[in-house]
Amino acid sequence: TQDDNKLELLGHGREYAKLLQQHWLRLRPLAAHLGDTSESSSPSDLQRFSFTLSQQFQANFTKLLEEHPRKAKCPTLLKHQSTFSPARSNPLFVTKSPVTLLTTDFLVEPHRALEHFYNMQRESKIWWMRLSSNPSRYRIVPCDLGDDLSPKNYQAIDIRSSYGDAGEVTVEELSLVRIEDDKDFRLPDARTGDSMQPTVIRSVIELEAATCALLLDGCDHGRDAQSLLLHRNLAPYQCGITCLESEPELSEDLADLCLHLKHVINHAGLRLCQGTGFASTKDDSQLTEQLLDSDMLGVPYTLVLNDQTLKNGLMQLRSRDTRLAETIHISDVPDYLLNIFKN
Amino acid sequence: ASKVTPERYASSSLKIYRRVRPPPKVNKPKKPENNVEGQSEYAENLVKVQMISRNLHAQLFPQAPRSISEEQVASAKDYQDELRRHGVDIESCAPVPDVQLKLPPLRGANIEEHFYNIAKEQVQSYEDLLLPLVQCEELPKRPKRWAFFAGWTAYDPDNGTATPVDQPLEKGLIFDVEVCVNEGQAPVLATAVSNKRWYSWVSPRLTKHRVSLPKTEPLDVDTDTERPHYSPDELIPLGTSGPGLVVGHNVCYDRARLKEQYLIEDTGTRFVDTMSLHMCVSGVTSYQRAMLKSKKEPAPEDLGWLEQSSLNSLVEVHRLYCGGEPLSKEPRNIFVEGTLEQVRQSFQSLTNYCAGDVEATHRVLRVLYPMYAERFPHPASLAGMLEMGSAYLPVNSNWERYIREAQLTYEDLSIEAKYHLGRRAEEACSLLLDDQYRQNLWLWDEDWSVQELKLKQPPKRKPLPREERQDHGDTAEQRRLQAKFQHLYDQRSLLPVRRPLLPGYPLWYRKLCRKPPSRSKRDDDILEDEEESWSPGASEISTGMQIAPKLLSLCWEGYPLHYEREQGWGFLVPFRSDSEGVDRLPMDQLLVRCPVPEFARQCASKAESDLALDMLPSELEQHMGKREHYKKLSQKQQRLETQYQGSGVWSNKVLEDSCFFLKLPHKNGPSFRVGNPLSKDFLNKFSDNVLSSGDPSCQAAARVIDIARMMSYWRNNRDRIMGQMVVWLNSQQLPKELNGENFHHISYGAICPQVVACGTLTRRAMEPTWMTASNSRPDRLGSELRSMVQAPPGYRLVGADVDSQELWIASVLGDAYACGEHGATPLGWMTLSGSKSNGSDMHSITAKAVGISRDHAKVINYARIYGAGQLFAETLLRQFNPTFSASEAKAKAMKMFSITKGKRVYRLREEFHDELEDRPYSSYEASRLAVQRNRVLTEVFHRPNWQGGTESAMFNRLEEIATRSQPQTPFLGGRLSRALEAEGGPDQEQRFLPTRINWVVQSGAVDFLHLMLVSMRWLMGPHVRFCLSFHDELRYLVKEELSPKAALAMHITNLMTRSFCVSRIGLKDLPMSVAFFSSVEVDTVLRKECTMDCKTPSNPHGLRIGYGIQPGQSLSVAEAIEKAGGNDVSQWAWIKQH
Repeated sequence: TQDDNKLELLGHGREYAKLLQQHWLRLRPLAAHLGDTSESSSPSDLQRFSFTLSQQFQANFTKLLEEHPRKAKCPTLLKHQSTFSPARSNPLFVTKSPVTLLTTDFLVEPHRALEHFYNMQRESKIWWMRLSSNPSRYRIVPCDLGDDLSPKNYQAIDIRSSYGDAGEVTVEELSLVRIEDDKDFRLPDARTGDSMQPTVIRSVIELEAATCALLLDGCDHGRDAQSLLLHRNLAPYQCGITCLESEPELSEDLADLCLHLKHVINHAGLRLCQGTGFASTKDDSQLTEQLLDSDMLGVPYTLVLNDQTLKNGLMQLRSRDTRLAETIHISDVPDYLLNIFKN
Repeated sequence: ASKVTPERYASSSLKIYRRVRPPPKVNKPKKPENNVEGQSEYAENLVKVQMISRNLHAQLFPQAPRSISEEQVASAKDYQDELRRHGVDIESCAPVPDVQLKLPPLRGANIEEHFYNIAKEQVQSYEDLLLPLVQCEELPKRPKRWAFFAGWTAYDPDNGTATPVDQPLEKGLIFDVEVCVNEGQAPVLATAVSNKRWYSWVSPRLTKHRVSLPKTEPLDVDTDTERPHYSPDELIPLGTSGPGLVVGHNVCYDRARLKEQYLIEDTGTRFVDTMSLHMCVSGVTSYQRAMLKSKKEPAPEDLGWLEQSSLNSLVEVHRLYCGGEPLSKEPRNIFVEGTLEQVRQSFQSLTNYCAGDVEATHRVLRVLYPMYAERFPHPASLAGMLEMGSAYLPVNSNWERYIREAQLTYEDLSIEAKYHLGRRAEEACSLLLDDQYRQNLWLWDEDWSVQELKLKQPPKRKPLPREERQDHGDTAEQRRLQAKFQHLYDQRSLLPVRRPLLPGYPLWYRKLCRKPPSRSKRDDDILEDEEESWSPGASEISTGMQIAPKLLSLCWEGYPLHYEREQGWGFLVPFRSDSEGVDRLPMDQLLVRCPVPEFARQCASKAESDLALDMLPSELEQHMGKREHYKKLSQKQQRLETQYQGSGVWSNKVLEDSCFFLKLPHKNGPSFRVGNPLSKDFLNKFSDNVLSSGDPSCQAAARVIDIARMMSYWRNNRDRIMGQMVVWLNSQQLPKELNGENFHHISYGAICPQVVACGTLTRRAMEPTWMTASNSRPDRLGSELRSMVQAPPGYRLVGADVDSQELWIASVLGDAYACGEHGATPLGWMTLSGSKSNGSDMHSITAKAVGISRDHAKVINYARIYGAGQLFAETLLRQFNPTFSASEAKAKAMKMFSITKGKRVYRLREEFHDELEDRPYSSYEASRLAVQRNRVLTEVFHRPNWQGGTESAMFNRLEEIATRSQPQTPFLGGRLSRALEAEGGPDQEQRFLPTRINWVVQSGAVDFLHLMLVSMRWLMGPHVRFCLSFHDELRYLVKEELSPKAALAMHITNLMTRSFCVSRIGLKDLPMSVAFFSSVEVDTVLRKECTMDCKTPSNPHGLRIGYGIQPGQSLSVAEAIEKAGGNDVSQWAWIKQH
């Protein structure tokens, strides 16, 4: 039925979406960020090539001239977010309305518009590929323009993520529109200063759908282990702490050490697993189970402490992807972890 | 002597040459039914090959009206029988429409005189400049001191007074440029001498003068600043008034540094390259080149040619022709390794060195040019060389975009490939748990050893130094915990100074990882870049590594790949069906995947008994047993080899007495080891399912291989492409039309490709980037290279490919020699009238006869015509079809050769006719008969002939030319290099015979090209600019409005060049099918066909959408006539003036 493929993001998913949104803001960092527009949807905004006629687009352009005069040159970038309902559907699932649209408008010199358009395609595709557990699943699909739109003035592609036989999800849409004969819509060329009428390249990402697509991507990996392969920088939990207690009398010290490490890691700005922040296990099989749980939550790294740690500060840093652990020293925390999560 | 003249046949019964063919079928061009003299244009010859239209024949062969004798009719029947015997249906070909053209009148009595005269005219003004230099016995005296002025300085021949000049005053110069390699490709200084005085040129950069013109911003904002961009103002001016002549050694290098060469309009300066002259006179084969380079004592049979040749450098060439003191090349090191400042300091000595090279070039020219002129008597040879040396490739801003996109796509793809490999590596790590790797067919022999992180013993008395933490926490609780565990932090000082990388991970994985930036270096600014790029995991992995094929679980013919240091890559084939006693190898897993194959089974029982022998307790006995075992196995191998049907190479290697190790086949032969199965040569084996991933869930393998395939072209070519010296023109240097308001977004520039006009033994031109440029292919990143040569607005690139040029040359030689009739030999007929569509062309016929694909047949056919033997064909066959066994390939190659080349037969010399029957003898019979008579074979028999094959006539002709003491090219009478002409006895002759045969065809093709260049220049005058020619392709840059005329001129050039060639070998007619190009391309970019969109991974949208480049036009001769405004070429303005 129709409801079967309706998805709703739960707490973790929403967290993941938020991280993805932040990541999007860091892409193309020179953009003028125009914030949220709470304006409700109007049908014209959803049409691929008519967005330049929308009020929202024109308002954004005015805002650029007023609030970011130094960026009001060609080429320039604008970013904004907006909320819409209903969600668009794709062959795999529908997300629950309303949805967030992340929009980037790239205003470029008309004579180099195509070149910019292709560069942007590649840049976006690479961005998705880097977030993925299988970069080869992304492809650029040109959209059929129909006969009435000249390819000189209109271009459109989708970036799609494919899941084998199950189907594809569109994660980003790029459209190019050349605006003609609008006297108010002009910008100076950044190089020559000549006033010109920019061509607009718009990228639209539907945040919720994209989040679901990336979560699916994390599961669809054909390896034996049931890990959720989330990118380490976007994982809602970046690391966990687990201790293996073999001698009961030391457990208070070990708990203290876990607590201490929790502080250190939180303080360093890394996202630690929920709850008390650490788990304790009694034996190896319990530890294995605990690690399996973390893998399924998509936690990339887990610190494993034992009674020896209390003596010499050595602990294990266990990786979700290799399922092996390396030995590190307490003094490596958090710098070594920060290095790992830096890029 | 026996020229066919009308008079000779005046008394014999004349037959009208043209005969009425059966009524034309529908859709065929209409032929006049009534056979009224003078009205029909259609003509065909004795074997029903359509000949050029009558009006053309009358203009091209005015003294040889078509006629036919009784004898010819009689022999025609023999030809037709022979053709039928080889499966040729002479009725099968459809006629093509006749062509009506009014050519400009021939310059001379016949086509041969015509070409001589027009070529002579074209080289005249250059010879006038060249000959005084050649004849000049003593150059003007070199000035004592060189002036350190920017730009040109002239020196008075008497007192050496230096005078600044804009450019040299004389037009004939010997010239040499020096470049400071570390400072880019722009010239630093140059010297030149005419027969009047010396000149020097110094770069303003050297004298630190500011260039007077403001630096132009050549390109758009995203220009890659890493690569230098050149403007004409950094280059050396020679003036724009032609004609001028510059002589130099490897002069194309100097030419690329001359300012005016980059202008769109040709200035009429031409270049004589002493290196090319040297190649023509004394060029060598690649084998000989290796001998020349080798330090070893030469074999006695090589001494002959060694005296006649040398390597190509000026030093060596000078030694060969002039002898005397060897030239010193020492000062040159400053140019190669030094800085501008060092050049400045040694200015006098370096300029003297440069002038010394100019003098040496002159001495070489004085000796070499007369030799060249004698050996290449036809003026078209020189004319062609001069034209070839003026290649010009216009480019625009798209060139920069192309490089940028190719580079980005390359990086994207390599990241993707690396990512997949990295993932596979991470996954493989978990095999360490419970030693699972022992069961992995690919990774079992990797180094899985693990390092531990251990603390040193704490010092006995001293407390540990305190490890300061930057912050102790915000709350009291946090501070308490920090204090509680401070002693653990303090133990940091007990860690080893050199921390092991990833303790707990297997060694092979650790080798793929980089050390993280250490804490102590964190603030170090210099290392910032390095730190930025560090990321956890197997970041150093690449497809070139030995681990890559293993991570991808690759199989060959289903068997897992395995690497052995001495043998390189191979694969494992089990011959035992149990795993007892097998220690490391995961035998059980291997047997599950690949049961013992039939061919190895026989060996198994034997191997088992050998194993038992091995188990004998005595150490000595064991040792002996092993030795014997190996010996027996290698005998066994002989038998196994014949039973094994795959393409692996037996290497006499057994692993753990349970598996054979077979090497992967290397393209250079079984003795080579394969270093990387993911390399270029194996990439297409993946599609054949010969090489595949053994892990069906591993989609990464297929993708990584796809990526490797896409990247290989760019990886192999990018340095050359990015190193192209592009000179960007500023607006004053562009024609007015390009200077309008609309064009300020696009930059225009040019590349003068560094073409060595005659760079090989066969006098083919050589150039490393453009001459080898591949056609654009969808799976080759960057292969749109050629289409990035783009004509400026208002210009067109006009050109064509000569249809099967070499095949035609070879076959027409055979036709003329054996029958005196076009198409009368099977090869000739197939070349002229065979068609791919009905399977009557040569490649289809051989493919059918032997049972291989047409494409493969084509390659082997060409290889044979180029002189390759049966053995080479065998290798090719196996390379194309790895599944062919050696015997299968041998049988096919043999069959192919007997059909095509025919059998070698010996005829008796006349003096033996009395004692022996005069019939063809096989080589076995012949040598037996000679031995019986105690004679050398050649005393009893004539040189053997080929008989019975489709190509026998051609080979007989080629061998006849190639075995002469002074072989000459058939068309322009050019001589073979002295290095191959040298007397060396019959052994030497046989040794170089394939090369000489190859030379006849190839060098004939070069003559053909030179003739085309001459003809085009005659037809178009200064209105075309030569762009580039490679293989059989020729391209010109023409103003748009003249492009249809240029296209027609190309068609006529083909007609006249071929007419000249056939006339030279005694034929006075030309088949219609080769008279014109099948099409001439009129295009804005350089591409093989004008409709190719050149989609590649770096140009995914194609030229039309991605670059806004529309398809060009492809004009047949009829279309060209129409577009050029009619068929009367004699009325073209510049032709009428003559």
